[in-house]
Amino acid sequence: MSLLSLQNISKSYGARPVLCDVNVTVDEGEFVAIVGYSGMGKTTLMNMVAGLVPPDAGTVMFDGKPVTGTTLDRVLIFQNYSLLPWFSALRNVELAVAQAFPKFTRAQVTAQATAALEKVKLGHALNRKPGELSGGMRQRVSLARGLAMNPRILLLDEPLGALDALTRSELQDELVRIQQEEKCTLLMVTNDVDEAIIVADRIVPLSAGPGATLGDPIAVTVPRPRDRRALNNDPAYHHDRKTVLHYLLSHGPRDLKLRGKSHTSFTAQKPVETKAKSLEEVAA
Amino acid sequence: MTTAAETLPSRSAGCAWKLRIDWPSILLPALGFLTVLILWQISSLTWAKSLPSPLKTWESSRELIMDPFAKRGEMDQGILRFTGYSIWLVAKGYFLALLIGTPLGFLLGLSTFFTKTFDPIIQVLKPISPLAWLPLGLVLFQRTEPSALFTIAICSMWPTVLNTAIGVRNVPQDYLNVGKVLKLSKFKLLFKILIPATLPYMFTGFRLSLGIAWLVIVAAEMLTGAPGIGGFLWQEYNALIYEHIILCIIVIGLVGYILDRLMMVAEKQVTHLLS
Repeated sequence: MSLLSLQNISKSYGARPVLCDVNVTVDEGEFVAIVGYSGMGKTTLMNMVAGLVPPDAGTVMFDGKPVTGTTLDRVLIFQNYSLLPWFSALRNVELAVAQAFPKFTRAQVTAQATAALEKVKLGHALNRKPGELSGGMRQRVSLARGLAMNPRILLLDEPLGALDALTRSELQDELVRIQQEEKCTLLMVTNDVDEAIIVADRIVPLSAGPGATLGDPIAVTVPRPRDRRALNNDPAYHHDRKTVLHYLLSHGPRDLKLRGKSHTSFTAQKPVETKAKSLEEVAA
Repeated sequence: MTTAAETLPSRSAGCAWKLRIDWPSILLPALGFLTVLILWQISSLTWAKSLPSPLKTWESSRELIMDPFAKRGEMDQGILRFTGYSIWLVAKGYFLALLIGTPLGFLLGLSTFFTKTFDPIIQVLKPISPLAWLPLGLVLFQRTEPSALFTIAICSMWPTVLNTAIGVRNVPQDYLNVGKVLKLSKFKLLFKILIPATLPYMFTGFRLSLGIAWLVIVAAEMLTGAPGIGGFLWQEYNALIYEHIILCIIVIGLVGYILDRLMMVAEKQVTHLLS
């Protein structure tokens, strides 16, 4: 039985269907990458797996039980790092460790958090605040925060999306190394086909919305360890790349007009802002 | 690279030099003060004969200013001693306001039920003048000091309440998601996420509240006649020593300005610390 399975998941925002009939499974120790277009519900999908948002229809099964909320053995690594800016890198990770291991003493918490940060090569920046770290370093802290909790599955929501190409490839290698060392289970979403081929065991392509759905999983045939420099001469790489791209391109954005319209309904935070503004005026 | 390294220090040095002789920012405010001083002098010579001239004000106030902490009698003390009484009373009323206002703001920010229930009554209570609250305070507490504290607290807490509420409502969803993923308890969520994320808003509220508290103290002392800068002002009006009224006005303004600046520094520090 697989560790995680999504069964006929559907989700819509208002009248707009975002995800339709999504099915995928992740086995213990596996690295699965979902590759798809931007703004087509990848983050929504991850939030549902994490338990932050309930699906409209279908079930997320984790370890044989349906997911109803967040748990400490399914940890989400956010696209925008979401570190708490008032805490140092170490304190950010410590907070997570203390939650995941309530019986730890203060010293044990610190030791575990430090070890996790050293694992992502941030041993020298323990006491720096997120504001004093580069984007790549922040994502490392965020990764360390997830790893330190020792979850059954790590959910990565476009973790490298905001980084420059060099930092990105560096962190991809890091992810692979950590996954091989820790034997942890990872589910990642990304919009980068090459990134998926470098890191993942299986790739699941996500069609463009509205009403995006997942295609058949594609097993990555490039053997590990995958050398980035030799990749271009590897026929397996070209084969995998072609298969994924073929699906994505033949299931690309169909109705661009509808798509543009729907984007406005995505940012549904306007009312809160106006309310806050009027209150602020009153306060002043 | 070398040329850039060579030009950079000299350029920044040039900036620093320019800042040191930033004439407009010294001369223009001085010009402003001078204008008011001249208008004051002209007024006291022409249409407002009972208005003491600047020089007369200085001469009559010299003793109060040069010996600012003297105590010659209940209502005959150095100007800074009076100011000290007032600041102490304001501090007590202000902390009472923060003590009530901050948790109230958190409740309003966290619960729409609470907001819907209490926001209208707050909007009604907010514009009520201290002059209207003070008599009620005297009725409730009989003595002047508690009623002054009551008035300061109830008038000055609203900016704290409302800004804290706005801050809590504006805590980024990302941080709340972190709280959910980490399964933080209500208590930890409050102290590790909500309060730090709200602090900059709270401090804006604190600063506005302090400004109001200082406004209220003068009014409260004028009505109750308590020793303090406001009480002294009113006494000197009754004693027809108009120079001292002007002295009090200037001191009240300066103290209010200094308090505001201090809070602004604190506000900046907090915001800087948290970003």
